[in-house]
Amino acid sequence: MSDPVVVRIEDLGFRYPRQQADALCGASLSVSGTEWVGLLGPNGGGKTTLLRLLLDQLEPTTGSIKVFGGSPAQARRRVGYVPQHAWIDPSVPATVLDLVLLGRLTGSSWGPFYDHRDRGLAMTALEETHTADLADRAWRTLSGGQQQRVLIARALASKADILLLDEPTTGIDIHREKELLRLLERLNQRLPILMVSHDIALVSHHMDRALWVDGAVHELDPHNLDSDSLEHFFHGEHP
Amino acid sequence: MIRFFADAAVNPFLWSGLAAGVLASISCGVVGPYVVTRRLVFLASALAHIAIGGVGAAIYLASTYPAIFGRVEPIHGGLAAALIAAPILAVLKHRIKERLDTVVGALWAVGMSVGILLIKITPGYHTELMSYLFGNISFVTGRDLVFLAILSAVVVIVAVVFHRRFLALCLDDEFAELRGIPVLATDIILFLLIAATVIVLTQIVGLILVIALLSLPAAIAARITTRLGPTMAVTFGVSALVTTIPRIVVYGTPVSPEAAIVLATAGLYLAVVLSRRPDGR
Repeated sequence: MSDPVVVRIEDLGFRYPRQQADALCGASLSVSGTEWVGLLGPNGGGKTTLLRLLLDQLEPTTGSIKVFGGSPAQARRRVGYVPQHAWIDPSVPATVLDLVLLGRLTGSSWGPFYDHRDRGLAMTALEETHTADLADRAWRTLSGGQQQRVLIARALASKADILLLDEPTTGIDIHREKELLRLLERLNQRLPILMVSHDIALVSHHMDRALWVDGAVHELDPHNLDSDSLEHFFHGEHP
Repeated sequence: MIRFFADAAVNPFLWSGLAAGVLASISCGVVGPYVVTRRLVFLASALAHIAIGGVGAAIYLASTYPAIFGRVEPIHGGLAAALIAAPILAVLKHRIKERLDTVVGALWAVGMSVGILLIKITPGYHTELMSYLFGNISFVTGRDLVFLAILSAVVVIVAVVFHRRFLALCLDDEFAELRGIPVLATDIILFLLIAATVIVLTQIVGLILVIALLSLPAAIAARITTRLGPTMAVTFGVSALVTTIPRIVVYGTPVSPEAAIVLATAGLYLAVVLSRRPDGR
């Protein structure tokens, strides 16, 4: 029987080169099944660093990370990532499908074209995010909300078994945000999601668990979240 | 124009100049879009100027040690210098987060200075450097064409093999790294291709003006296409047009064909910029 624990982090520490303080120190958490976990916390508290450690972009200074029972490097292909700011140059002549096909890229991809299977999986991901009609559109012509959905499609095209999202609702209007959250709710029926957010109400209404990240990781009650209850966390007081 | 075709009947150099333009357009069509979309125009320009050091070194060595280097041509020295500088510039791009332009500018100036210094101390009077600086499309030999054809073939083959990786870097290199693509190694391959293309284009417009052909046709194509494949095809077409038509039009006039090629390309770019928005509308 497979281990229901998807992510297990124990006593994790990380310090950026030439920095005096740790970005993360003694952080522990686990994510199981198809949980939707919100990561809240102050700017510079280590939320994005935590995602980058899970993505194998950074090496922990201390502690351990297991993703699907292995190292982040071993699990890299199973992790879908939607960044806060995907720096996709709008002047690059590329369609939405070109961008989503990046999710099918691997270290053994050679030659000029993706095969029929890869294109099929990319189109399926676009259909799942209701953006199939945008496949032939130029990336530079999409709205902010459409771009976020396409970036989720790119993560899904890699056949991800977990989604990591870094503030996906930043900069999109309320209507598009609702659409995006409905999409994530649907995806969460089959995928665990770890999502960085500054929106307390969003975390409270949609997520199974909420974690406060300020160097360490603290479990919060997602159904009793408001700015008053988090005030003491902002002042570094942990009950 | 009529005079060009009349003279071409008796002067094969005129045809080989046109053939060189078309051959160079192949490399230009393949590599130019990567240079423009990955924003490498400044680094590619540095490669061209560093190559001048290699041209100077080849002239110096061939003149001073003819028994050993007598068969080495200046363009071979330029190619060697550009191929050596390519991985260095790629590594600098990845490792230096601040003041990259200063470091690259210094390398650019050092390369040119070495070339000028070596020419100066080479015994005898040498005019080759001028033709490599400003091009000499009127005197492209059959041997030059073979050299151009081989370099162009290598560029096309490597680009076909690496295309998906290059496109990934142009679109989102951070995501490409997450997907297991070694970004620095891939960039080094791309820089080597740019180095080879710089040398190919040197035959047409010279090292000083080479960046115009490497960037402007691709910039024109990128404004009127929505996918990189068609961008490459249009870049090839634009390059082939601007390396042949202006050459024929100014033939027999005091206007330098190399300058005419660059000015025509710049004029075409300006026309496209003024008439179309970047999103194609």
